Amino acid sequence: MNKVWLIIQREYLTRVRKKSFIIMTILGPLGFVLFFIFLVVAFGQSETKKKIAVVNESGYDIVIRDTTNLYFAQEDTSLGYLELVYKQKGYDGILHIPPIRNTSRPNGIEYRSEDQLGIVALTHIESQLTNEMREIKIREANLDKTILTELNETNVQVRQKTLGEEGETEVNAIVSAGVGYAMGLIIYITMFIYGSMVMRGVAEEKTNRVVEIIISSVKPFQLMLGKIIGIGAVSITQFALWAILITITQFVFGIIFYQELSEVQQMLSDPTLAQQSGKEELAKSLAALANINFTAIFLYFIFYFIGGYLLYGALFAAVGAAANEQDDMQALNLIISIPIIISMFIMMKVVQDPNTPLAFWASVFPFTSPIVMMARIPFNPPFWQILLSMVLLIGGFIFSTWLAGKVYRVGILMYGKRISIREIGRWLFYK
Amino acid sequence: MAILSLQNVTKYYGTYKANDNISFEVPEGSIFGLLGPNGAGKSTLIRIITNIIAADSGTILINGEKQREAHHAIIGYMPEERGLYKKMKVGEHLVYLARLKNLGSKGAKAKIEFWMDRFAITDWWDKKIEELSKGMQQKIQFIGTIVHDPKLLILDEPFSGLDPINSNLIKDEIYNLKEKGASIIFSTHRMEQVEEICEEIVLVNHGKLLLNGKVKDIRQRFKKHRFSIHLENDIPLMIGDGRFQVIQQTHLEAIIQADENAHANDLLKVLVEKEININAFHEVLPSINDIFIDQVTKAYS
Repeated sequence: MNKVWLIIQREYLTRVRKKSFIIMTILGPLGFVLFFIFLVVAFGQSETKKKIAVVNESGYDIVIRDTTNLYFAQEDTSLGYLELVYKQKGYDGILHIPPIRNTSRPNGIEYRSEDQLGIVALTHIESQLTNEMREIKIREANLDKTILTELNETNVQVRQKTLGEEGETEVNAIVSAGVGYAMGLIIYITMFIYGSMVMRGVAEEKTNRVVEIIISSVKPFQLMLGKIIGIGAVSITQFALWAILITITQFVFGIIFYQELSEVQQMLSDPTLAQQSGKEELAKSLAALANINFTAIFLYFIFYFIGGYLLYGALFAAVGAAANEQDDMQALNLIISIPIIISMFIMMKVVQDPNTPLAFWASVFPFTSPIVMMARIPFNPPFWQILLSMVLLIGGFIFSTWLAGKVYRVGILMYGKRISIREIGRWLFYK
Repeated sequence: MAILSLQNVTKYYGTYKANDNISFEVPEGSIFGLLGPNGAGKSTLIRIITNIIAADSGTILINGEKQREAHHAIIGYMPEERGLYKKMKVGEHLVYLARLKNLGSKGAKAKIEFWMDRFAITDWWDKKIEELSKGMQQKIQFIGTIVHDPKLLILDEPFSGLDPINSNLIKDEIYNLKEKGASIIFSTHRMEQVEEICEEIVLVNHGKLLLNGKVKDIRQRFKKHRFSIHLENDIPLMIGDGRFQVIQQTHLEAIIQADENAHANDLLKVLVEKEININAFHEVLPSINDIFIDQVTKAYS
């Protein structure tokens, strides 16, 4: 055991001291923050200011409301003439509404310009025109507007209540799905990153032949185990550093964007505020987020990450040991990647409907459970299912490590030959 | 006593028999040659001795005890195809190898410093392995193999890729270690080295043991009753005795094939009687190389 510890130390220290590790650790959260900023910029204020001429030949009065970025002006000049001079007149484009016969599906409405409109502007125009058409239809049908307003205010929402020992918790399914999806995705990505790190490490030892020297001092199984645990420790170090760095950046951003954040905070504590500001949906999501037990999710995440990593890490080590050529490695790599990829697809289904038989079986089967159960956890599945899934996962990685150890100790010394699956099967029975 | 004793060791890879019922002993404090053509099963045998893989049947005794894990600590093994972790520094790499052989970190450091000093490479401690040439790496490898003072040292082609100066350096260290009581198993294709260095050899082919014994005895065993005579005068040699035949004569030397029952003295007597003046006379023993080729080709046919 002392020797495994030495191997763990070497695997851990050589990787943690590498420049690439330090760069990844710093750039990881920075990338995360940059991505966030990108999202805010892209969806918040992406549209430039535009002035649009409206040529209305529909025969109806149509008013399109301005927004912060879009100004609309009625023009009486003919379309043909305006097309020639709209730029001189300071317009960015022309919205042409031809005579309308069918108010349900008005034909031929066009935006003419050298530059295309962004999606936000287009959606705004479409929704305004739809509103106008509806108003026209109401008028033509002689309907009472107050009744209609009342009709429009009908809004049914189904809330989900999970029944548990700790009373009822209100959870918004969409937010749970989002969190579940994110968790599953993180496990999926990290399993590949660190799994292939194990694979490359083993393959490197094999190709540069240092392995034979090492295993004249330790058992091959000890070397494999030491490598898997050492790299696992690297991954956990990275997660921990990321968590710390993200907290710090959040704190710093919290100071910089104090105004914006306090608004959200207020909305969280007082939903009516949100309703007034028209950000009801956001407030609901935030409330649902606040309802999710992130500490528990984090602990489950650590368990399922470690479990999944150990299970697949051993298999990746076996692949690294068995393969002699890049082609072999890719083929074998694919075989063990398939269950991970399948888990990902199942996971996408499961976040939509977390209680199907498929969801249950995939979340207890150890080869899919790290991703699928992790995605189910925000939905608070029955505890016995979590327990069963955990026990099976522990059993699963013990089995896969045992199996991988058998392949590893033979494969690591096999040079030059192309390796077939049948051949690997035979190795399991070598003494 | 034997430092290593193999009894009926057999190893299969699937249906392929890599080692077939092999038995031999390596005497303590000797330099022992393990010979055989490529694919003869030498590597498998070495891996069994170093406990990297297990034999299917047979017994392996190390220092008189049944082979077990703890024997790692008294064996030093330098494989033919060798490598090091390229990104590690020389010092930390050697410490790592030493600690895997159960040395404490302080003891390891002291030992490594001693050896680096001996090879005049003390300033390499903080160099990365990848910065070193192949020959330099081989020195590091050698230190890594002997740093824990192994009682049994297994060297697979230790001189391949080394220049003559470094070859001699390593060779001297091998003799030194032997003097200090280490036993050395030396696997090679280079037969002149075997004759020079080894006291005893074992020859394997197709997984089977062909020959085992002291180098001198083996050469005697395979002698072909040939004698070499250095003549004083450059005249064609005529012996005129049915028991002796000149099979080759160059400038001043003749090789004579003797009858199996004839003794060296008989030949001398004939030469004296014929008044043939000679400067030197000796028996021609086959080289280990000849024996090796002979035995292996015989096994093939």
